[in-house]
Amino acid sequence: MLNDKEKMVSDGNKEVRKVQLTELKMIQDLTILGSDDSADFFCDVNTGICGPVPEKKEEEK
Amino acid sequence: MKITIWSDFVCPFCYIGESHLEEALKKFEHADEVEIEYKSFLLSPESQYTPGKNYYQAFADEKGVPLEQAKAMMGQVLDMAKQSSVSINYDIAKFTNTVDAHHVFQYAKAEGKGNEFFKRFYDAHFNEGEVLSDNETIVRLAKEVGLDEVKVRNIIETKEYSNELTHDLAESRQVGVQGVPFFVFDNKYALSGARPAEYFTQVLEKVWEEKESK
Repeated sequence: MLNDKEKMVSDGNKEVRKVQLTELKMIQDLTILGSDDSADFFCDVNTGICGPVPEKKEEEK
Repeated sequence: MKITIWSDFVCPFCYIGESHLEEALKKFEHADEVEIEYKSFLLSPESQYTPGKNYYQAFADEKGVPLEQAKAMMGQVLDMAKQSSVSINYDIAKFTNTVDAHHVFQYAKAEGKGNEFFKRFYDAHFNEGEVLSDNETIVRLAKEVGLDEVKVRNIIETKEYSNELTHDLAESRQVGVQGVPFFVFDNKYALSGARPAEYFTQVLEKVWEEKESK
């Protein structure tokens, strides 16, 4: 699905080179490693806000 | 072993977390066989630099949080940085977007200078008060890591390499990145956040053992 989207973007702009998208398929089955800590310190990709984020959020994924 | 890292130049926990990874790698027996690849992420793609506005106020205004909350958040970052011997100076840092800097990063990556570029831009943001959305600043810093000035100016003007940037962002969504830094080990194990160096050591050893047992 994403591969198709990427191709459409590329086709819509002739000036832009095509990007190799094979890696997208390779990392679909990731094992997410948890933490012993009660919170992870990262920057939330949706809000851009950085701080301690409860581990529960990652487990919900 | 390959470690892929989604990050932004202005992400403090990326800066700190990667210092922990580097610390772990210094003690890792097979560090010479570890390849690190950075991928782009944009934390605040819409942000514009406002001269005269300090980092705390700019962040509070952009994210819609009270100034005191912004200061408290930065305080947490500074506490962790201090514990990690990482230098961050929010008194001179400039809050802005990094879109064009990431376009040029993609070029740097194609030239085999991606990791060097990332580290230079981290330092420029966190310790030197550089405005990473400013064209002349990007050109100057890119030149420092050995990139061609004419090519860099052209990339900023034409947005060449935007497809590569879009690819990194699309890939982050596909793998379910919720927060950066986001580390992927050998396309199999992933973790996010500024984990301690000891944690990275455990992961490196586990991934290496699995790799060797195959």
